[in-house]
Amino acid sequence: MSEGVGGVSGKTPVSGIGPIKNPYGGLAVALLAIFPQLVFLVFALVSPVSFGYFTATFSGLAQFIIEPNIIRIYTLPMLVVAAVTAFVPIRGPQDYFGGVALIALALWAFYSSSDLPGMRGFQFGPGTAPRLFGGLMLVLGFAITVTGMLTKGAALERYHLRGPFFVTLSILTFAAVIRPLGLVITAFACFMIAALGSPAQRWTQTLIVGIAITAFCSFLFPYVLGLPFQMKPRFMLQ
Amino acid sequence: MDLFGNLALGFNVVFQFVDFTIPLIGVKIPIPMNIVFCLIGALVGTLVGVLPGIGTIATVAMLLPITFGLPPVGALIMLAGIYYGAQYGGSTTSILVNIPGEAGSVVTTLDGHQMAKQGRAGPALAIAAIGSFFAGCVATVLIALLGAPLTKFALQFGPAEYFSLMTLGLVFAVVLAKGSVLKAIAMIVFGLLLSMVGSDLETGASRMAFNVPELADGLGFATVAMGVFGFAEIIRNLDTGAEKGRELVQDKVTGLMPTKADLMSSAPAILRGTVLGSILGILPGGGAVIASFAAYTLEKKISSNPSQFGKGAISGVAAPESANNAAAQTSFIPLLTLGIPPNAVMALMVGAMTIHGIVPGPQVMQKQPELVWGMIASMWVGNLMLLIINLPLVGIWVQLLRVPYHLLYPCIVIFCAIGIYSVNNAPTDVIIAGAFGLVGYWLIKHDFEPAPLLLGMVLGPLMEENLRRAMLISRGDATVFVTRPLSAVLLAMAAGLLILTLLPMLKKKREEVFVESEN
Repeated sequence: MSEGVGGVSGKTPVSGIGPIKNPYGGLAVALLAIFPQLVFLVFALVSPVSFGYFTATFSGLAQFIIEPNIIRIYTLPMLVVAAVTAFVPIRGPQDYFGGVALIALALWAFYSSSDLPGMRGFQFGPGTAPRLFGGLMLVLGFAITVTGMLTKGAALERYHLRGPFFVTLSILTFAAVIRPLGLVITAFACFMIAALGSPAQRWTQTLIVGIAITAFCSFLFPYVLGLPFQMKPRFMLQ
Repeated sequence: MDLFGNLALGFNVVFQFVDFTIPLIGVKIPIPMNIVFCLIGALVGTLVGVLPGIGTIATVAMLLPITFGLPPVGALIMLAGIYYGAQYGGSTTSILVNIPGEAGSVVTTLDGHQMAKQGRAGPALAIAAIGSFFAGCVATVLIALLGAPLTKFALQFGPAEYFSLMTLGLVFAVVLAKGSVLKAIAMIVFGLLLSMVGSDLETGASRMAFNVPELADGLGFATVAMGVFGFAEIIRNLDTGAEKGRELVQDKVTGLMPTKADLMSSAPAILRGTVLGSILGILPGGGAVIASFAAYTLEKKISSNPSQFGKGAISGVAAPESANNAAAQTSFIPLLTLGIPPNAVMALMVGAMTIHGIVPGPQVMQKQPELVWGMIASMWVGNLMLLIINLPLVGIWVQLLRVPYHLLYPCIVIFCAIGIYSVNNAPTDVIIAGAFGLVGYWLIKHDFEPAPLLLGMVLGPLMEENLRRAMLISRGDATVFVTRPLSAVLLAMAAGLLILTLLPMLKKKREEVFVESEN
């Protein structure tokens, strides 16, 4: 997905001097173009120490980066869009970059359904509907991009980092430790991590609420609602 | 008469006594279980409505897994209670604090808070609750009246008609969405694309799943809903600082009773709001939010002195509050009769029904009448409860507003995470929801509305299935959609609506372009 990249372009309503009008915007879209490869690179680097979810290896990585289909269907067209972005005047950045992301999404849909068979006679194949909707998305993304190019629109909104970072970190922590550490520790840890996202905390107060909510969760979900939660960490069970 | 028989069946279901074993003690006592569920739903709904920063969609998504262990009727009664309960609760914060607790009561802030400032918070709250109650009663009767005939009608639908009807629904969602039409369509298509992930309906081929085993079953829409509406909303609130401007005017709440003049002037507004809300609720793509805006606009247009609006006109509170409650309830009609969810909350209700093995559609009303009529009857009971919950207890709900957001949001994060995790006991689902939280944040920043996305995601598989079936039956003849009369009418309506919406927009954009190029 492209949300991180949109963030990069967040501070770039810069119209530079010379032929290149949006150097940062173009760069951001170029990053979006190689986003799958970047994600794969990160996974490959993480996988030796990860929790067994991602099994990508370096040989797989090499294969993926030069995979002809992904380059042909996704990366190259997006690089073209990036080049265009750098040179065109953008009057409505919010619409423009929104549209570009939709184009990326449509191309990604084309890529990911490229291995599926299409129509067989009058019968739909598994690949028909994804390509149909992908095509529709491409048209819409293009239309929104052009709108952002031609008509004056809203500027990009500021992206904040603290809130999204800590809330996401809390969610990821939850996913990572709920199995090994059980509900009690996980709930408390995630509460505190999420709480870091706001500058307004007074920590004694937060600590008390955190403990209370952990107790509440540990009572509500397993006992009142009867959901099968493991309470204690795994090592304490053995 | 059929209607009374059906309603009697419904009330029987609601007032059924079930033996309940108290946990830890083990004593069995008979209690009316469904009323308890209704009360819980109404309470949670009011709570959600009162608290800004957590919406109905996220709450219903959060509670979906919890309904696993409940009987289907109880689960649906509870979830329905949350939706219309939130409409009641939302008005409280709008009036007292000038912060809409719920999107459906945004317009109530305009006049409601002005009334509160003038020391008339009591009458404003009372009129909002009375209007909601009246609208709720009317909507309940309307559902009961329309349910059976529409179901008979729906049974004549073939795949082609279903496809056309859903197209019409999506077009309505586009037309009624605020902001750019193009962006709304794009969001629907985004939802359709997301619904493609997983296994193919007919061949079982893995689609767009990248060999990730967790994606083989597709993206759960409760997961996506939680990300886009729950997490994204929290992140957004952290940006803007949801804590500022929370000055309570609750010390001025004195007499709750509205004067006779208040009642006289708001009665027609309540009536108009109810009618408008009921209609907009039934329309696909409609719902509580649009209904309240439309009702307010209507009141302002036909009022003899429109200048009063925004300065504490009581009909500016009565109409939108009646409308949002009416719409919240009548939006169950397309779901129960046709099996098509008209808005995002109803889409989650489909999820709730699916969890319990119920396929929404016309068959439900025939095969499981106690489920449908029980739910309808519960709505009336729920509305009565809400009247009591909201008026005398308003002080308690206002106290809740003192909980600062910086303590509230970590709790919501944890509840959401536990909720998603417990659906499948899968940590991956939590990660996916987190990712969609960021996607949702990005969507908000680029002024895309996420509600059509969810609708597209739910209707996607249904549409594809019916499209493929229709094409198969007609042996590849695509004209089947226009040669079958019912389907043709529906498609023509969809096309007409879309053109009507797009034309002025194109004109405006062209003008903008010309203005730009002249400069």
